[in-house]
Amino acid sequence: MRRKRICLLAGMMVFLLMMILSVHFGNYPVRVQEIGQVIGAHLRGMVYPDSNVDTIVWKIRLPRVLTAAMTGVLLSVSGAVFQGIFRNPLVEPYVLGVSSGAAFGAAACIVFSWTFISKGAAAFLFAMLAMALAYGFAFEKEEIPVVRLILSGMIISSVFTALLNFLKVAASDSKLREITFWTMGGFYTSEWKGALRLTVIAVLGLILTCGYGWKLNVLAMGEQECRTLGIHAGRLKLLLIASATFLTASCVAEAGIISWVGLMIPHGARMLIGPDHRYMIPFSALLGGTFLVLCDTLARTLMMGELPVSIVTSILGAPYLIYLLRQNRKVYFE
Amino acid sequence: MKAEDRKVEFCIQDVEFSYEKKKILKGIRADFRGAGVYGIFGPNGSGKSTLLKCCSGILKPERGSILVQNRAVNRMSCQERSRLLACVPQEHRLSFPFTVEEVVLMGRTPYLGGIRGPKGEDREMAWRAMEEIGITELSDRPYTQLSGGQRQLVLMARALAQDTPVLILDEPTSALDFKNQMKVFEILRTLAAKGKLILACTHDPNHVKWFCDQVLILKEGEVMARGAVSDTLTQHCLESLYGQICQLQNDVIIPKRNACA
Repeated sequence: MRRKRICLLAGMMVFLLMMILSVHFGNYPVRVQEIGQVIGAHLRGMVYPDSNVDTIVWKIRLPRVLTAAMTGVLLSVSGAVFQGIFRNPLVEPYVLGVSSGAAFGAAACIVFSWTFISKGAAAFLFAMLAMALAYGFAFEKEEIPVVRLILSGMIISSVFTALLNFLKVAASDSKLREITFWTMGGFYTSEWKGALRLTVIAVLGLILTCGYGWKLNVLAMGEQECRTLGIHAGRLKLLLIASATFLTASCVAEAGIISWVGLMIPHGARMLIGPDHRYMIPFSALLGGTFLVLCDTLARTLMMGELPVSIVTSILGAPYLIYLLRQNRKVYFE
Repeated sequence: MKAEDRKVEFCIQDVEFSYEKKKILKGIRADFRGAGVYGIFGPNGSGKSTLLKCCSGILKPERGSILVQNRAVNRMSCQERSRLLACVPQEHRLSFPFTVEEVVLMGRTPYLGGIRGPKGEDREMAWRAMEEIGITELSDRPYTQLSGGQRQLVLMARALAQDTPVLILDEPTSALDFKNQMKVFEILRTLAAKGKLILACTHDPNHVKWFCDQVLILKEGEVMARGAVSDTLTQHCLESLYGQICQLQNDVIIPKRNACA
């Protein structure tokens, strides 16, 4: 208990430190004091006198870092929830076709030059639609067996991928390039509005999922046992799946498809702090936020131009996961 | 223990159930009144697991009803039911590596409203349950690392932490070695002496002989006999269940020598 609280506190501090460092680093380094002064000035409704620093910190880096952090938080939290529901440490938030649905939505918006809806909103709507379809097809007499849900998710996902490929074939070269960049994900277009929206969603999502943390523990013991322990498993599952998909879809809409984070972070968090979701979910949130901020910082500082952040998450993430796997394999795998 | 718990009642009234179109239970009727260990006994395929699943509210009987304290099991909400009945499942698919203490604490879930996690008093109840079963020294271990016998004891402690008048166990000893089998049944006897009504199904006639107060004997989905063990589990009964393969000697069922000769 005490150890877990200390872990959470340490995670919180590392998370904040990482955000500050990320604002500090870049092609134009900003001193840490100045970051504080810029934030202080804006909180008092003023502008920092050095307009270069002000623009870089307030207009570019802060919203970008915040968006990256919240995306990491959201993907990790919904990954943790999905893994708990499916009782499987290898499930990721995109399991119900969310990413393919979102990619198709964004691509359709680009190809047909929709003006009534933004790329992000189209991605969000199609992501939710994919989840609803996958869930609907798996549903049968108030119960949804996990295997059916996963298969159903695969089917929906492959349908949307096929449609996406069709759009890619039909698209002109410039639109194809736009689609490709969108699907790789990134934070180079982040603004305050989106960052704040994600922050609000992340806070609400964390409150909800942590509140249901104990019930999620019980659900992870299996549906029948869950019912004999007094929880209506079907309703709880629907609520958690719908909210986790909502969290995923919101950050896909904001930042595109970022791979690996939602699979690996909850997995690592569980190994470090134990499987109790009441602690594991907030810890994954902190870990995921820290990790994605780190990856995004590397993505924009390693080379002169920008690297798509998914490349960094995959290259950094895989060895880390392998390390954890080797360290704790006795505790972990049966 | 409260006075009403002492007169705990469990009635199975004309329960029928089928999988697909095959009838598994064909009108089962039995009453269990007061504390004690009640065995549900029968060969493989006699329908005892199905009956137990109906009893614990996992399956819904097609006809008939199951009453605990005069209330129908499948008309209650999950939460109400889980305050009356605690179940120890036969097959338990392993989950994440929760510690033993966390697993036992899950038994307190029926008493946690809304989004509350377990509190200090729940932890005390869980600890007492672990003491009663004798697994306190395992409390910090991940339950996925335990042996099958230890894990069975953990699930029993979880059911005990549920603090219910009725305890239902599906083949509690089928995967255990002899020592653990004896241990599990000794614990069940102790719990019965403290006022719990315990329903356990088993396919070993000796377990019935040694540990049960009453027995319900099933054959092909029908009640073959029910009542006190010495009246029901007779040579005649064993023969009609199994044929000429065993005999009853000094209250122990042993193989018939000449069956193999």
